[in-house]
Amino acid sequence: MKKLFALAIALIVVLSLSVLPAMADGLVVGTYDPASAGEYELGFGWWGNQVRDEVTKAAADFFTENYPNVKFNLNTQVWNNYWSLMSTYAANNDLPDIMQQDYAFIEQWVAAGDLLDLTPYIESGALDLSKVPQNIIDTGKVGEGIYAVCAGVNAPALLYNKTLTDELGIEVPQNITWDQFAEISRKIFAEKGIGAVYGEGNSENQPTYYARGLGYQAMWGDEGLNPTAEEMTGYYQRIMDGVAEGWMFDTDKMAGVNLTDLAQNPLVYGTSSDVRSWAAFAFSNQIAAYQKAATADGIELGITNWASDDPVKSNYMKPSQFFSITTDTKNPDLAVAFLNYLINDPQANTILRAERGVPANSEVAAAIAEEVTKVDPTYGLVVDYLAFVEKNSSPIFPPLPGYSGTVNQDVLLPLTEEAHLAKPTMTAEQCAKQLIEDTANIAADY
Amino acid sequence: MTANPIKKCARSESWLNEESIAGYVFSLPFIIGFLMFMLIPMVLSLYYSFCKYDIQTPPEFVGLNNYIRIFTNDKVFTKALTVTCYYAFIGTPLKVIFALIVALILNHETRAVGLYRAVYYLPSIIGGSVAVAILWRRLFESTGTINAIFSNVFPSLAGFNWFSEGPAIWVLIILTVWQFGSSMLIFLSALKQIPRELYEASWVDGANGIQQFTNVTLPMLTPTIFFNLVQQTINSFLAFTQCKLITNGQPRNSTLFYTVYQYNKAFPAQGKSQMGYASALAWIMLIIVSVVTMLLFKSRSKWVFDA
Repeated sequence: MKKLFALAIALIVVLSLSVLPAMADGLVVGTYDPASAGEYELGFGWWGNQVRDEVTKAAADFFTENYPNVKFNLNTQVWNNYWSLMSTYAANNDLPDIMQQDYAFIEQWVAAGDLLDLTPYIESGALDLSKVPQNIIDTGKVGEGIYAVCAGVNAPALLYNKTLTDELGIEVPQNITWDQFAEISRKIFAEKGIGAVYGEGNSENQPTYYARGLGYQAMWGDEGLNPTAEEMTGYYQRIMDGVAEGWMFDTDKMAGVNLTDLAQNPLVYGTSSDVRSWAAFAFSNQIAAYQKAATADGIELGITNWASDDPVKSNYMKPSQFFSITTDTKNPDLAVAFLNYLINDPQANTILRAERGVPANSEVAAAIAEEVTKVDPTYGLVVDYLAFVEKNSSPIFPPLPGYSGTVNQDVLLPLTEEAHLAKPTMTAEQCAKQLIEDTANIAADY
Repeated sequence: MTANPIKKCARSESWLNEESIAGYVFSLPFIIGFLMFMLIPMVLSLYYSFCKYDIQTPPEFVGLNNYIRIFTNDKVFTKALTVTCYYAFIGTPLKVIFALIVALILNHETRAVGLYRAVYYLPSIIGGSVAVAILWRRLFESTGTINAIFSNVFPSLAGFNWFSEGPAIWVLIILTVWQFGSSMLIFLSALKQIPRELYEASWVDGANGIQQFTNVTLPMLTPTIFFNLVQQTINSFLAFTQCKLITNGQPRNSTLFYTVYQYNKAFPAQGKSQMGYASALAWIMLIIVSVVTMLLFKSRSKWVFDA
């Protein structure tokens, strides 16, 4: 018995010795050895959802397992809180070493001097971007420097309750137009009382998509919006018509509904049977988290593009999120090594499950497909959808001007609340006129 | 002979100094706290209120620009001020009246009175907390407890949305009324101090309970009512947590407290901070609260009975 026990112990030791070093060697970290960094706590901040939070923590833990001297200070927030918190950190020169960045905001952060130029690290080979397509690398370029690396690719995506549409015998087409979307919404509302949520909150996404449908690649200009008030009237008219017909929920019904927290979106969460939605205007990478929340209610999700009068002009491929290294880091080499691990390591990307979008490193994307599909059945849907969008879209708009955040908060939000009123006090023309005028004022004052 | 008094004087001075130094040392924690968290920030914010300042780049002096913009071109400022006044001038009297009623009930001597007082005081200790704000939000959700109870009595109100434009501010007013505990405790101790002879005398004169209340209790309580009114009014003007967490000013700014508007300008969800503008808002609030408090004090002689 004793012998057997000793044998078992020996076997375990031999096995673990043969497995563990192989894993340590396997981490793709570039030219810098994180083991030489000494005790260090890497700060890492992102906006997220439950799935992203879990997988990102797992990827960081896996790094610590291999390099026990590197610990992490992880900071996750919902979208709206993330930016105000990070600005406060920036003011205090206390940003995390690595922060998640958004394509729209990147220029403002570079202008404020908060992000590190990664060019020297790319040239030295510490950050290996040889497997990332050049057009994707360029999306992180501001001026002459590269300030961000794409964490994954995604596209705007209409996620819908496929269980419901199947039950009603409704086919949701690809390249869905606004008229088709409104027609389906009317039908679902008439039969089930389930509506749709559109254009809510402080986001520029829907107006931008609308303006692109009119033929404006970019909605934002240097001195205000590119479309005219007459052209933007149709956007507010859509909302007012939807609310008048009942399938778009009015401001009073939406009050108290939290849209920034994905798990509370009316597509997947029923605060009230009055406010259930058959579709959410989201991004393709979010389907995993939405599906996770929806499964409890036995809902299967489908995916198509955001409705637009001209989907091919409106739709775009987006570097879904970036990772940037901030100028507040005390050990840029270590931060770069960790970044290299996030971008190029197949094991890390298997753990991350492509939740931030399909990996930009094409070899990694191919290597993880099988494993990720096992844990996330929606992955195949996303890959197919992105392949479709690649052929049915137009180039993305340039990063947004600095004043856009203030416009989102002070102009778009109150106007969309106005347009969503059961009895609006303004016409769609007046809303559009105020949008154009107030935006120009803020741009001039910035 | 001449050197002596000087020496004595010097000695007594150093002795005085020792005492005052000890005093300063003991009050140092307060002085440091006051300087760091009150005086210096206040002086800075006064300066920033004349600047365009986004906390990332150095402030740029713009004179009265912020104040001019607030008063001429800011509809949200007017809205937030209206909402805050509504909340303060409706919520505060309700709270004080409610506190008085509960104090009168708890003034009776029973065995469990200590327990009752503790239980009724509890909401004011935990009332400003994040946990209660979230609890309140859940209670008033359309599928929350309040609606579950309500829909039994009034079936037509099932699914009523408390967070829609009209009722939302009342959710916050009810919360502040519920936090009546500290006012109630002050009323309780004031009630104890009303001399028994006054009640006995009025009883002998044939006064009934209601007459005793209006002619003895109420006049004797007016200084306490005044104190509670002043304190709670100031608190209402400065209320923040409840609004930020329960409604965040929605819908359409109908529950936007002034302090929350100020905070959103300083730390916006998107776009850069407008700290200078927010500082100007803060100084306007300081003036408003001072004026309201002054008016309350002016009114004192009209209705407060000083024995």
